[in-house]
Amino acid sequence: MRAVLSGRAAVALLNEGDVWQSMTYEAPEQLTPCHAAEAEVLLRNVHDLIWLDDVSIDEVRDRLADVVDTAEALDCVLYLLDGSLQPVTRDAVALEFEELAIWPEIVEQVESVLLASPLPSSADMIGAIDACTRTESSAAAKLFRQWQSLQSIVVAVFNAWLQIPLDKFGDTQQRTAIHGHLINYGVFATLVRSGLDASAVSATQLSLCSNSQFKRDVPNAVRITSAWVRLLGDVGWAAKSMPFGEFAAPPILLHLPSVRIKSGPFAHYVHLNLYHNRAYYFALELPSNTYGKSVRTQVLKFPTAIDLSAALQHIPNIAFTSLMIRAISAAALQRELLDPKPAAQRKLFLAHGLQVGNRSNYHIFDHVEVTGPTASFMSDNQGVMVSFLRDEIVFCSDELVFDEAVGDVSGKSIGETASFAPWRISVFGLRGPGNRTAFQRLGASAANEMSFKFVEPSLRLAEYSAADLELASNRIFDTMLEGNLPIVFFDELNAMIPQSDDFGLKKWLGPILNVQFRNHDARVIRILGGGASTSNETFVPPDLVVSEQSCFSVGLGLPPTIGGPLIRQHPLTVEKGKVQKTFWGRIRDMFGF
Amino acid sequence: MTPELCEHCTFEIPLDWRYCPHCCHGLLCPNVRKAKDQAEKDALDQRYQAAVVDANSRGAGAVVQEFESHVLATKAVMGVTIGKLLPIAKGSQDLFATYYDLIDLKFLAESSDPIEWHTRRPQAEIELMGSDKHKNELYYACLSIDGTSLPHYGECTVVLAERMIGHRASLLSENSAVAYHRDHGFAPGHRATWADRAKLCVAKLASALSSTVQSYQFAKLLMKAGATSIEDEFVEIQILGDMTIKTAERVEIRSPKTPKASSAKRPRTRRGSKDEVLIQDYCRQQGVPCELK
Repeated sequence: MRAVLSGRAAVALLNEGDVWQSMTYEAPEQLTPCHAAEAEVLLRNVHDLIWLDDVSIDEVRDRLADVVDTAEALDCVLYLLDGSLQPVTRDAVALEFEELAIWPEIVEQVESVLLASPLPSSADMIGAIDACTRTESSAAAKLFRQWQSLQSIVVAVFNAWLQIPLDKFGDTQQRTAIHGHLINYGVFATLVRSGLDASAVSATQLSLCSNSQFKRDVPNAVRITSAWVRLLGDVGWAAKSMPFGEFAAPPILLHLPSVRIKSGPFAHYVHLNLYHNRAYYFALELPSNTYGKSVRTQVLKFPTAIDLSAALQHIPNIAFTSLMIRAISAAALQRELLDPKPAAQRKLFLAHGLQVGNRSNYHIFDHVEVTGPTASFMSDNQGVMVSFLRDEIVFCSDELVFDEAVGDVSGKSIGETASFAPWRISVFGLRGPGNRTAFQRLGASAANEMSFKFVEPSLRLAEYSAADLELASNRIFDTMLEGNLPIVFFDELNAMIPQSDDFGLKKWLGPILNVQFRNHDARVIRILGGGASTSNETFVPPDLVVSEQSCFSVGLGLPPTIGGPLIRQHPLTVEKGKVQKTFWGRIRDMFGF
Repeated sequence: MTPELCEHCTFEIPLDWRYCPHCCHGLLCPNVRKAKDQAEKDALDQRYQAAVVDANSRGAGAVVQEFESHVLATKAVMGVTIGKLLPIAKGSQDLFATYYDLIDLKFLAESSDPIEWHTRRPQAEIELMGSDKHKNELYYACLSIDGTSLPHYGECTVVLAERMIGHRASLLSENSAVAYHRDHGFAPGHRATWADRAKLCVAKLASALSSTVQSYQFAKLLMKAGATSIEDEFVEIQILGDMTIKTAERVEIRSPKTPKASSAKRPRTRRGSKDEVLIQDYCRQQGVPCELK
């Protein structure tokens, strides 16, 4: 008996001689006689036909169940990733998908498609996970988290596939056909699941090349897979350790010139922490005209060390609206910038560094041109105080001079941690004891004692688009990452933290909370301020913090027993009028400011 | 059929063209032109007048008049399954399915019917449009007073916007395939344009209206579901040309009484449970009201 099945139509047609019968997924026991002409009409608009030869009715029934469940599971996944759908809709989908997500064979089939290429930037992975979490669809949620974590490898596998020379296939048509076969065989997914482990990849290659059906379907299978694996070896080791866990869909595409990347909120921060790897990535936002809004992003990979001049050779005489260098060791970057090279090759602009919207008078950084060994972005050691209010960003200026500092950190504590640079200081307290004042004075005392300059443009957030604000704050983070802002103050952080169930907020806070530097490389301290918190844990919820951090916590107006251990170890009490310069003095000593 | 001249160039135009072959001026759809043929209109008028006279003689004139006014407010409705409507609402499949697209398992399951639909339907369509040139572009709906559709065609009722279909719709007093199967043709006076739908309905149903019939009974009189789709009684609307979800003015979904069945291999109690809210969500995105009932 022959049969043809369609998961989409949920039907199988069976043929033996002149006899044609149909079978439905809903009633697989019932076979309905039909005509060949009807069968042709029935399946004329169906594109997922599977032809089976020499099969029994039971086998058709079994296979029909598989293909329908797979098709419907894939539909569910795609619906869940559709950010245009309302939460209630996605909840219903999550519940339905949960019933299918528990079947490994279905998941495997779904993954053969889902892991074959990177998710588009429009795919709302966070929303999908949210829906699964809300509906307690644990199997589904686990899958989505797993797929999210695999995206960097998906990108690597897919990009390696794209780089296989066309002559290995013959022509583009054959390449397309082979692509389809590889998806159907689940080869992309298998490679992704292998984690790009060399032995697992080799085993996959061996398995494919010994599969006679595969070799029949895929001409030049050996040559193609060999080229693919070789290319995977080039990029895989870097991609597989890329941390995507906390962030949105990956915007990174390697070796692809002029790749357009959706500029979602902080999407590019997926590059954080890459300094752990042996590869460094430059994400360059290239305006179509020098200061235009149309931006294309090119990601360049440098496998062993940062070579800025090499990057610039790709695009000579480039003007950046922003040089976004992600997770690169600030010291390494600085070395590169300061390394004497011919100026013509090193023309680099940080234009309109913190321009927000169209208010050009709110520049914080001057137009800086880096052309020689002595130049730097912040040559005069500027500092900036950034206050995130509910609807404002306030930058404190050097006109704010306080002669009083608030607080005290025992010398013992500083001494204990001297070899382990603190890079986050939390300032919080109960409502009312003057958190904001303390925070401001902390900043002011830094300015006073360390001769920092502060600039104070006060911007109402509501007046600017999210993209403009994102751009502005990104540049703060960028500059901070580069180690050119020794101290950055983020005040009223708690105004945002109560909404911490919002993943968008997590993405916003992620760079602030989780940025890591090697000790003493970046020499940056983030001072996080906010009120109405009684412990470091409530001020900065642990679930927002991805990795272990070195942190001071400063509790204001708290009895020693209320705060967490860090507070007890480092008590800080408000003593109005008392100046404690030792705090910044010790910080300065420790960081060498 | 009376030869027809192009309004623009005044040359004679063939029936099966949707634009003038001489000057490319747009023409009415063939089905509408067939329904507008003078002989058809005269025959329909005769039937209508006869029905009114008869009703008046029986003392049912007022009821018939009220029925006629109700019919003027009727809507064209399509019954569609959730499975068919979902991709349409989503926009991934932009067009509603024609009869030929809709030949699905339900059709196959009914293939033991006395009518061979797959042969009768095209024959009926040639009769409706004068040729088979546009048969793949013909959609079917039925006339509804209360906005409900026939249950045999699916859980969803798509109420079509009059301004989107009125100019390309023709009507027949019953299921065209059934009528063609029985009579091998359509008697004069049994088809109408959208504008003349009230006349057609009066001509068909006035004899069933007595002075005791109440207005709430009109809906069932106009459209009545039978035990099978062949036994359905309704006034059929043929609509030529593409339709998308935006052709609809609203959608209603009747909740299925039982969940969609799944295979024994992997029991799924929630199969299809998402579909209704998905359709509702996508309809919302398309600006088409969608109600779950």
